[in-house]
Amino acid sequence: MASAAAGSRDAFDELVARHQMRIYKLARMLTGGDADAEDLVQETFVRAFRGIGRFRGESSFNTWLHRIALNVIKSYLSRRSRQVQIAPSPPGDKSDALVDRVPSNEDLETATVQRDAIDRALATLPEELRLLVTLRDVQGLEYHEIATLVGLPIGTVESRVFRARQRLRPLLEPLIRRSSAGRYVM
Amino acid sequence: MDGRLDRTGRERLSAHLKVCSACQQATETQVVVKRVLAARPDEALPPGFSTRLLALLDAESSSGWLEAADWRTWSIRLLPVAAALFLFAGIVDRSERAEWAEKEAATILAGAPPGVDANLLAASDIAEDRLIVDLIMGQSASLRRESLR
Repeated sequence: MASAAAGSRDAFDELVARHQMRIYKLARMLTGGDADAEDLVQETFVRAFRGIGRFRGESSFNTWLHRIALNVIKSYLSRRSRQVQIAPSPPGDKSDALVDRVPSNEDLETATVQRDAIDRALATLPEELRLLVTLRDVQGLEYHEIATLVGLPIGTVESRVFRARQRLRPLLEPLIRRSSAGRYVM
Repeated sequence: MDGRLDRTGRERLSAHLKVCSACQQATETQVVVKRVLAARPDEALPPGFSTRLLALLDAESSSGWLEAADWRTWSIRLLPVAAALFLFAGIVDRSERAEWAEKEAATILAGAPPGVDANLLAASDIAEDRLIVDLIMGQSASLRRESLR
């Protein structure tokens, strides 16, 4: 029994190694880079560890883990009753605000600045658009997985991701221009 | 772009984009934004993150949930299965299949997890999360049953 438990624990540690970065990234993005993101990730994996017996395989393990993570994060945000740390820009002022915060091409060299620029752009979106485009384009979930997670029809998810990308375009223009110039490797 | 169109749909879209600049721009927006977001650099995990997480899981493991909770639950749930397996073993010839059935039934009744084999972790072809989950839940017994057939 002890060896069986040890083997099962090794297996779960393998799952942790595969998915911890993905869930940490999600927690950081949905909480605005909150310092509690680590606690949220820990809670996610502890819940997954306790509930692994309930995983029936109807969805992928990644989707199942994302469901747990989203519940943990939503509970946290609800408890704390706080907005995403990066406040949305005033209407009509989004592009200038982003450009002002990324003043030079040299600044865009660092991964931190690139990541912050993307996160600031995402923070300007309404919560549901931000969640859906994050799950699709950053986390790489398929549309049907996202639809299952959030309880929306696939077509609704598709149209909202489409709208989110349209709204993000002007905010991400500096990064897109650098990509076109070949200096920002994507 | 998102893999949602079949070949006919892609061909029709491609033909339309050749003549519609508005749709060209809209498509280009979708493509470039998706590319930028997908390339978002990962943040570094905080120092000691993995160590702290594994320590939490160690605490969960030591609480004995794996032995006490799930396997007893499994045993209780599988009692009817165990009974059926004994019946199966009793009414068929003492073939290898019947011996397997009797062994599996005894294992279930003993409360031990049937078939968890940590050595399978070493197999180079185990790359899918689902197989790992199956190992955790002791469902590798199904792989052994397959090998007996």
